[in-house]
Amino acid sequence: METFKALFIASLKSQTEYRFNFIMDIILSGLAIFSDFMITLVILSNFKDMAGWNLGEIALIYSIIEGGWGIFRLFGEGLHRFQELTLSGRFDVMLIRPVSTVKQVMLQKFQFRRLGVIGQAVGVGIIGALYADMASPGFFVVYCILIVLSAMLIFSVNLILSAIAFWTIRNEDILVLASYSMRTAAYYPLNIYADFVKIVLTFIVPMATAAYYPMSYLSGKTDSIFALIAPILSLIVFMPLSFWLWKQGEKHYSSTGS
Amino acid sequence: MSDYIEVKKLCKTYTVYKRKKLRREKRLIEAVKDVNFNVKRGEFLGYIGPNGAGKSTTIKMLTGILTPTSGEASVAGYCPWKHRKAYVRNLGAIFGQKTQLWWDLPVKDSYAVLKAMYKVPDGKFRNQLNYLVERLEITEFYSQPVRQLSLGQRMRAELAASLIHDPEILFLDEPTIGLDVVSKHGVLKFLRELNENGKTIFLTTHDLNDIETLCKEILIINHGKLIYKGTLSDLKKMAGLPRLLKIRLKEDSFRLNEEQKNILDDYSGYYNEENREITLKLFDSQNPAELAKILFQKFHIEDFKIQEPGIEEVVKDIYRN
Amino acid sequence: MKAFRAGLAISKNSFSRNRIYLLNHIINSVGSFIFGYIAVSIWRALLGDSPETSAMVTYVMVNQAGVWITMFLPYGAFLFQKVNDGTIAFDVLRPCGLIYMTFFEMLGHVFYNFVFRYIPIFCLGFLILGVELPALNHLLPYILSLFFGFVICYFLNYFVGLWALKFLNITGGQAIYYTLMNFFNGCMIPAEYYPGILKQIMPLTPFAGTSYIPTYVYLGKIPFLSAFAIQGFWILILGCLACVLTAKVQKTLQIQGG
Ligand SMILES: Nc1ncnc2c1ncn2[C@@H]1O[C@H](COP(=O)(O)OP(=O)(O)OP(=O)(O)O)[C@@H](O)[C@H]1O
Ligand SMILES: [Mg+2]
Repeated sequence: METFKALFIASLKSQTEYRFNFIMDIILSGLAIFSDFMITLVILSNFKDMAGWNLGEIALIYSIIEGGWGIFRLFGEGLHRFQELTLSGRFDVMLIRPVSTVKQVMLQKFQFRRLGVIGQAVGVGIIGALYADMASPGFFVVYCILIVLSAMLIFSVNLILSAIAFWTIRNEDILVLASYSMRTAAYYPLNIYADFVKIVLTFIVPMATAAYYPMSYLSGKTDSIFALIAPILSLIVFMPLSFWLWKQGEKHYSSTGS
Repeated sequence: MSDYIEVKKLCKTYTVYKRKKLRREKRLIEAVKDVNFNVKRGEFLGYIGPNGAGKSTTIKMLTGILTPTSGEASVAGYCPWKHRKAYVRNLGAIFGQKTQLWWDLPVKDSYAVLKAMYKVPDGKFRNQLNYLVERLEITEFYSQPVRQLSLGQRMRAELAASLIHDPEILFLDEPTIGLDVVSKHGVLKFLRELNENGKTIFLTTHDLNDIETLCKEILIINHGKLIYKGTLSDLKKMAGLPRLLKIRLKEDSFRLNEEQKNILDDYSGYYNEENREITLKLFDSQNPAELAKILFQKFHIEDFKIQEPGIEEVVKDIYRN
Repeated sequence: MKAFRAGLAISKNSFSRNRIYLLNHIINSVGSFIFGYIAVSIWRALLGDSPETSAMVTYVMVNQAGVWITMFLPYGAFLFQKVNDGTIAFDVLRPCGLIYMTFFEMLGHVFYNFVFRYIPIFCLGFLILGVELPALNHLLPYILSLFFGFVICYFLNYFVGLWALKFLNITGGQAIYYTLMNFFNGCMIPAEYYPGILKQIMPLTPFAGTSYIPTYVYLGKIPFLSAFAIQGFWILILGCLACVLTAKVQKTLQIQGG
């Protein structure tokens, strides 16, 4: 925790040194991600709904995924760029410090400009909730919890994908494949996809459990309580799995060298 | 009592795959083969060997980064790769090319983060930092982001980073890369001071002069095998290289006569006519005064000097065999 | 021809550097295909089973394949990476201009992308999603238009690179690029679905010149001459701008690293 605080403060100081640039970066990187949603917005301006989901509900799905993603990228930039460490062999240095390597990799960098991403996600979420007529204090509490769970789920998926780099040294492409494309797939209601894709998004790269399932409960499309707690269920499986895999990777790394 | 560092039968074999036309081919590289040595507490050990000899591999194993294929080691009572977490608290290390600082952060903030990682108490941290910043002359780039530092500045910043938690043992893999003469002198002096204050230091470098000024004990490794272990002066004696005796002749008598040529042959010398310089080899069994007397009788000498064999010569000789 | 000899050597080099990572690129072609699949699923959900759907599937998949030629070039045409690791110093030393060097570097890169990403993604689209082949007399104009699209995209990326040289930070430039491209290149939606005045403006932007226009040439939905006119116009404008800005930025170039 001490380490976390020290790095947090140091990162914040160094990134806010040029305040103008910092604020521009936050706004512009938020805008860049928001442009993904703008496309959806333009499309839905021509149609009433998408497979039974109206614009407000889709906005909420998007917002939960994107909010979680933003939080993950704020704290997990190092994990996201893990291959830089294995490629350059700088991961070696982490093995000679008395702090767990997952923490150290996470602590490579805090990327404060992701605040822009989180900001636009929450903005879209609030407007979506109003539009879908779901806004209530109770809903927003659940909404916040869902964003946090989504961040944790994205973290564990990324930890698994990063651990691959222990064997392959490079993992950027797997990361793009599984993390970006699955994230984008999870922006939209799951029922537009073929069954095979539904299974992948539910059980293998379980991004749909972060937003789609709880939203179908909250928007009254299903009454199954399992839909609401889907993110918790998949966390119970994936969190331990990801740490276990990381441990194995670390062992492998220190027996082969970089 | 057992020694501070004990290494027994340490071996490391890397497996690499080479892509061939049809299938890939497995190849084993024996980077370290059956290495044994002991180091006492407080020693300053020089670890040398040609490129690819296995030095970095050894250091990686001794710092717990790499698990050996077989063999044992203990440092300060810990097995580095088995008790990594506990062991590293007391360990400082530098890997020549790899930075341990945070690329985007100013130097001073990197130290603050390290302080938190190693849980260094405030007071101790302040003292240690003041000491390091002053001794390594870090002040001028103390607030600059690491990515902007010059190679030499970064090296000094790294050195300080590896000492923030005041470790008992230091592993330095080529710490003087990129330093200019003055900074290098400063760093060497600083390392010696650390050693005198009781730190055990394990140093590899390609600069043999560094080794000569710092280390009493040295290890030489080649092709993964330890080929020498002992003090530097013993090494020189063992190598038995001759001292070189150089004389320059006066201008009026630069042509050699028969008698002079014979003397040259006796001492397996050679004559460089262009700058009128004769070089003779002087082995330990031979008496320099005797030879000098003969030379002054037979030659018109303008200049006269005896050269001790440098460590460079000694090591070159060993690497070749 | 002589003037291009050095350029072709640069291109070839950049092509073969990529070859090493073929496996990685196969993986991210699959990722890219998934992005296409997402777009296709969305349109299928919206349009149901109509002839319009089939044209739209072709439209989004052809765009998706083309994205590797006309959108996702290396950040800032590699300039940012070079500024960061200091190798820009070597480029500035070379006897040919920066524009020339980076253009041919990108050309080699894009040619590689054409062979190892465009074609596989296209084939997957053809085999799995029912993408329609182009009419034979559209093929040549399409390829030409795609090439023009690449030139436009190259210049835009080059501007991002110059931004990075100037500000030693690529975030802002890249975010602006991504936002504008994402919103205006028509990758997911053709012009007629844009609201109001944007319907008319969108096809005239340089961004549309990278995806929307080539693919409309492919589908034969736009007169070839007006397509080339729009693209040619932008290549001219952007080319001049690139020359002016290069001269300006080169004066203030800073080189990092040690
Ligand atoms: N991760 C690795 N995988 C495969 N082979 C390796 C690996 N690391 C080192 N080697 C090989 O092991 C041998 C010893 O390498 P090592 O880095 O220990 O040499 P070194 O003595 O430090 O050399 P230098 O003076 O050049 O730094 C070399 O042949 C090298 O190619
Ligand atoms: Mg080495």
